[in-house]
Amino acid sequence: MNTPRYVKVDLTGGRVEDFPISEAYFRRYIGGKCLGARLLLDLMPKGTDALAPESVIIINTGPLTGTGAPSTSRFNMSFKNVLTGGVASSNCGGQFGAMLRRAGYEGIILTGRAPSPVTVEICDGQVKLLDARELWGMDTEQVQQALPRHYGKLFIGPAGENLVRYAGALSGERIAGRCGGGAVLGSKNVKALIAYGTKRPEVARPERFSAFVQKWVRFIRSHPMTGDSLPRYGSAGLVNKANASHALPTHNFKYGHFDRADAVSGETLAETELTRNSGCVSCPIRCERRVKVYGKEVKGPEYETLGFFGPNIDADDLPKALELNYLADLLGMDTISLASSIAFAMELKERGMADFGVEFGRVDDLPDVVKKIARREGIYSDLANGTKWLSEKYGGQEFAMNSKGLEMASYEPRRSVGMGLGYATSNRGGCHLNGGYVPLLESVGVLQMDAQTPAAKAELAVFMQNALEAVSSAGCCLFSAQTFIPAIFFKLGPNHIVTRITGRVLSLAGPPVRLMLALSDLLRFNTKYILPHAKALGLATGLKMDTGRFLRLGERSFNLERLFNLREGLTGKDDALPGRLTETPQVEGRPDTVVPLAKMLPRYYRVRGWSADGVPRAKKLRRLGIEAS
Amino acid sequence: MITVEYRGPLAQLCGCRTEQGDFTTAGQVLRHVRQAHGAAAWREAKKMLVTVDGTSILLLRAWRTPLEDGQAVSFLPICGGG
Repeated sequence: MNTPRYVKVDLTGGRVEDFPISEAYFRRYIGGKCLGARLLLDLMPKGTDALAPESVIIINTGPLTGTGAPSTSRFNMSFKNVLTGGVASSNCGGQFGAMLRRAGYEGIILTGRAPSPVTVEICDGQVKLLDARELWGMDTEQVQQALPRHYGKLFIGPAGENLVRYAGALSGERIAGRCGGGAVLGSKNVKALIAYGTKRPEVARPERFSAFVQKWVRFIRSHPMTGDSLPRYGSAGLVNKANASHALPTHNFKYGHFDRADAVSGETLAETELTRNSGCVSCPIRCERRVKVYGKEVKGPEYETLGFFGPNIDADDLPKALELNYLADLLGMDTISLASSIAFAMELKERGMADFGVEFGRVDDLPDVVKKIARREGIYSDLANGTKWLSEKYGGQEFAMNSKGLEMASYEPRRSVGMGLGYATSNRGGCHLNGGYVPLLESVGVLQMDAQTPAAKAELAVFMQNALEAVSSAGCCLFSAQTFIPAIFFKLGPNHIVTRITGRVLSLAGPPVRLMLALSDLLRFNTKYILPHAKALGLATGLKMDTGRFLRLGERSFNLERLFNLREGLTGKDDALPGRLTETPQVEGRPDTVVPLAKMLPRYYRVRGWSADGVPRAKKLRRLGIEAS
Repeated sequence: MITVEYRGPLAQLCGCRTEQGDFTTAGQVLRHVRQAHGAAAWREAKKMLVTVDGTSILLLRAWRTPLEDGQAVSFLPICGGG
């Protein structure tokens, strides 16, 4: 069996050595974020600061990365979360992941701190450290142009160099934005990693794999979500949907509905600003928006960015939102944490608690503010630390919209309470994806279950968290999983009686979903309709893989991440939300418009097989085959 | 007077982005789409997300949602992402 090839680089001493991954580890942890979490637990010394030289960052791929399977240009970065002190995984598309595999490696582990800025070059099985002093200080466009053209590139901008706690790393124009991976690379004096090679990633059963991939691509193209809606509107199309469900964060999550939301919606973007759509290598979905900013065509914003540089700061200026999105990419920052920190500063100003010169509804000076944050200039250095840090200094913890320290995504959970549970339990903090993305069933999808009820939310959150973990670990984009809602519901529409009844019935799905989770070993089938990734993974690796094993892989990954958090001092008490969401109803006089976290959390722990304190039980870990570190 | 807004492919099928009329329920607007713009437009419209002043009719009374003078009914495409 071909096990993944990893290389470990000690940046302090410039040592490079192969890092063998045992067959047992490969069989159990596969790759991507699951294997990343395992290696992080093994290699990262307990209690190490995320930005210390001893900290470890694992940049790896999944077995499907670069194989030609749909939406598989992804690579993953696992590291200690700069904002939460717990686990972090961050991934994106672009060319770097596929090129890393072509260069002969499935993963690279960085530790130590280079004495001066370096570029890590991975070329046809050889790894070298190159002098990058002349690249230091460059923005992400400049550095990309300065690096060799045909290489896959992963690089940071000024924000990463200046240790902005939510700095990301870019691959092409895609950004692994969340959790501060760019700051970790910056702390290690790594400006870029570049990869080039001619070795095509091998798959175990090439003919069957190729036939299945063709079938899978056809399925993706024929599904209304991945074949029509995402190519046409991208994720930006969610602005009006979330607004229609009153789940669009507005005025720093004070409200969930913005009267002028349409001005920054995906539909308006498509009608007024879109030059074309585009996509990552091997992706048939092509969700990327291309727009013009400063007269040049650049990557357009995702839903999160439009929501946060729009309604969440009371703004309806679409060109300005595009500009801010571009600047955040140019300087190398996560737009969610950046914009949420700005919204928090606006509320501090509104309440007279601090003045950073920003206020709700005023966007003209925000480009300058964004640049100052990236440079950590003056008081703006505080904004570079995120909302948790800010609230500890200036107060306002009840409206600092983060969980565990990571800013929440653009779904107002008081009208999507399953998302509230997801934010609270997500291992990396307030993340909609690590949180299971339950709003797809509650507030922004075609099926709409009761968004206020806690019923079935624990079970669905666990199921979806596990599924998304597995998809990421395989090396796939999560959008490829959006086909799991049957196409028939899109053809009927959300207002059809059958769709509405199905949505209602989902609230009763708790017990069967829990049974399915408990008996997932019995799900020994593969189907393109639910998680086609499982079959592709089996054909690519030669491992026995079916829907049940695939879900178990996701569960293993989620528990490993949890173990890392517990080891680093986070506890069940950190599975929390700001008071604004759990104590203040979104609609005055409607007490059901809060997140009933206290009701959902104990049930969630039980479904997970964790103790009442949120600690995975020994029996659960044995069943998942997780060894103590 | 109610303003009706068509987005996405529906705007092309209807040949206009907005129009105005006197309607008392959201269901009446859907019936108007069939009568004024044909069966293809109606088929597209009924599978879209329908909002009244930006709020989904699923949070209101579905097709029976009453309309008041000055309100806007929008037909929006179903989107995804994350």
